Amino acid sequence: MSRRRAFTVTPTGVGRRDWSQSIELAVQAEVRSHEYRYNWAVEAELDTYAFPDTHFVLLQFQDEAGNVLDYVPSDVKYLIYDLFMSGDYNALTIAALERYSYPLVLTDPNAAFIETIAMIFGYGSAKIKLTEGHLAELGSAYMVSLNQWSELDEFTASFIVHAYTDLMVG
Amino acid sequence: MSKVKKDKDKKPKKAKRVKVKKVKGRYTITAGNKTIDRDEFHVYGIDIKERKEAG
Repeated sequence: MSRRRAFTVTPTGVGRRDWSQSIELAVQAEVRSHEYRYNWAVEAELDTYAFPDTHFVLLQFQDEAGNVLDYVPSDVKYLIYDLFMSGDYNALTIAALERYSYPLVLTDPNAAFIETIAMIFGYGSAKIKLTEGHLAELGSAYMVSLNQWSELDEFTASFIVHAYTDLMVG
Repeated sequence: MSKVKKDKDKKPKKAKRVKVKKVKGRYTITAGNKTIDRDEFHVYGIDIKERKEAG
């Protein structure tokens, strides 16, 4: 038989006070407002690789001082919530969001791989919608895929990634 | 003779994966009313099957 234990929830972050003492889960807003949005967009013409080879692009983040980094800074939070990948052919298309340790091993990016947050396949386009979002982990690098497996030598691919942030972006 | 015929029938080879490559394109970050634009960025070639075994 399980016994409920009383414990104190230490208030953290910014937002309303947490009155959730004595319950198991407490929800505390990490990101202050949906007004602060952070979006990445990429468009490029790329060589068509043969499956399972895939193009990946690093997401870049800003710290409080405005420096653009290849990893998640410790002073800003990012909540990634969707990713849309599209190409110019109706061919097998991948949308993937993955976490890597930083720095990446440039000769072998797979060596720094930690986890796949989401991976979706489609034709012509593919979309990932993270219902609860993914809170980017500080110090990690994030990459998204940018690939279509068509019969042609080249393709034009684009992606857009949306996130919320507590960075004061004006 | 048969070897020559075989070569003709072969499909054109797809580009070989390059591990890191600088490509020309558009990389934009929009943060509020601020925009960061790049016209060159790195693209990593990753084998997604090979990658499953890592980590």
